[in-house]
Amino acid sequence: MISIDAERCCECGGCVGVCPFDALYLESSLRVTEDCTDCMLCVKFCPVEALSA
Amino acid sequence: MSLKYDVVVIGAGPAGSVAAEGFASRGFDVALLEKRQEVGCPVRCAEGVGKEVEEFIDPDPAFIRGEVDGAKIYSPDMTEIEMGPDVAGGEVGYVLERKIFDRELAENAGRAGADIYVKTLATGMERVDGEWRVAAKRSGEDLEFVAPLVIGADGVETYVGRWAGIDTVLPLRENMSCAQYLVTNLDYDHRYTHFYFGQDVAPGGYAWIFPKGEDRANVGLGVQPAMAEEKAITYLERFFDLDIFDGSRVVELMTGGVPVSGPLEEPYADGVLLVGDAAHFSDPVTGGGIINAMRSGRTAAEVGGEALEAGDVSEENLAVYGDRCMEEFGEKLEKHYMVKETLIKAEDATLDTMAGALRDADFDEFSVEELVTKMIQENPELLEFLDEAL
Repeated sequence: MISIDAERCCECGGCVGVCPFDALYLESSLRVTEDCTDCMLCVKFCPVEALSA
Repeated sequence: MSLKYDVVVIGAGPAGSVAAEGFASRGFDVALLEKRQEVGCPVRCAEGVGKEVEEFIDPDPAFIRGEVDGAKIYSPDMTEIEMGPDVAGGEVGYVLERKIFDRELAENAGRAGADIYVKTLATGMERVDGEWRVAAKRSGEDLEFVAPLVIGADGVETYVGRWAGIDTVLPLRENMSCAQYLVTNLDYDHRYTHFYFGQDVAPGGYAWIFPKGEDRANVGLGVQPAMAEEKAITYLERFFDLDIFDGSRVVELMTGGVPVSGPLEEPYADGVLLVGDAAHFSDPVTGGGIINAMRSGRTAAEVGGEALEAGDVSEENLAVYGDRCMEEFGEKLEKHYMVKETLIKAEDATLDTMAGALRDADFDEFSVEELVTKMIQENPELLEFLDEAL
């Protein structure tokens, strides 16, 4: 499962747009669920490196 | 608590607010939901629009921050192409203050009779007996909205699309990774939008300066995440090292994903219409999405309203929404997708050569089409590229 650095995250939601597994939810903050397969698409997308392996 | 409506609009950005106003002014009971505690802040946007915005709202200095007379386009070696005021005969567009603009659109929806729920997050949707039950949390309190029709205006991350079973996932290469500063104390030509291209500046995309006043501008860039070796913010920090930014100061940071995939083929399902970025209606070349967001919101209210009157919000009966969007702007988006696919293949040296040839060109109109036409006139080999893309 990928990790989220809440201090870097700007909550833009772009990562949710690329997640093929519905594993990312942007509510009052961004969270990841167990559906995450570590495909890394969200990590590659993030403009500010808030997501990592 | 269960709240019954004719239509629930999820997301109070330009698409959602225009849709909500459209339904409300037709006499429908509409709930407009916004997950944030305020409308229009923050946005994931460079805030540039063409003058078509005037179809939807009278221009007001309260939300028009920049008035644009033309564009300056820079190739990698900084050859400048100017599409100036002589071409358009006046302003070609504006740069908005969306904190005010978006809220004004939402207020208009409210004035037309829409119920507005802020700090209200939709958390799920279930179709029961021909109606959608939308689960939501308002400041943490559980609510349920029940309506035959739901409008998904929830942006690039759209959940409504997924809950409705529409495949809205964006391939990585079709979601521009963007970072932007709002900059002040900037000394520059504030009547022009500026565009910068190059593998080192913004791989697969471009950097921009969109004027928001004499000394203020949105300074940002978008990169194609499968082409870029570094993060958008890193490219932005490097871009901000340019001399033009000496003495200027950052007062805001924003990021975002911009769909450049071209329009969703079927932005609808039983009892659901997707509008704006949720339907991938942003322009694959420019990234601009505000105008098409509002157009699709307007069309959603037309088609959705007709469907509600007829008591039939089935996918079959809503399909005409897709057709109307394609006619109005979707076909143009598909063409721009081809242009984008061609342009991103061009190496820096090619872009420099093209810019050199276009530097003294006379443009007849201010548009992507005109720029591409002139590019092909100067470089007929481009037609081969376009052929392949087609």
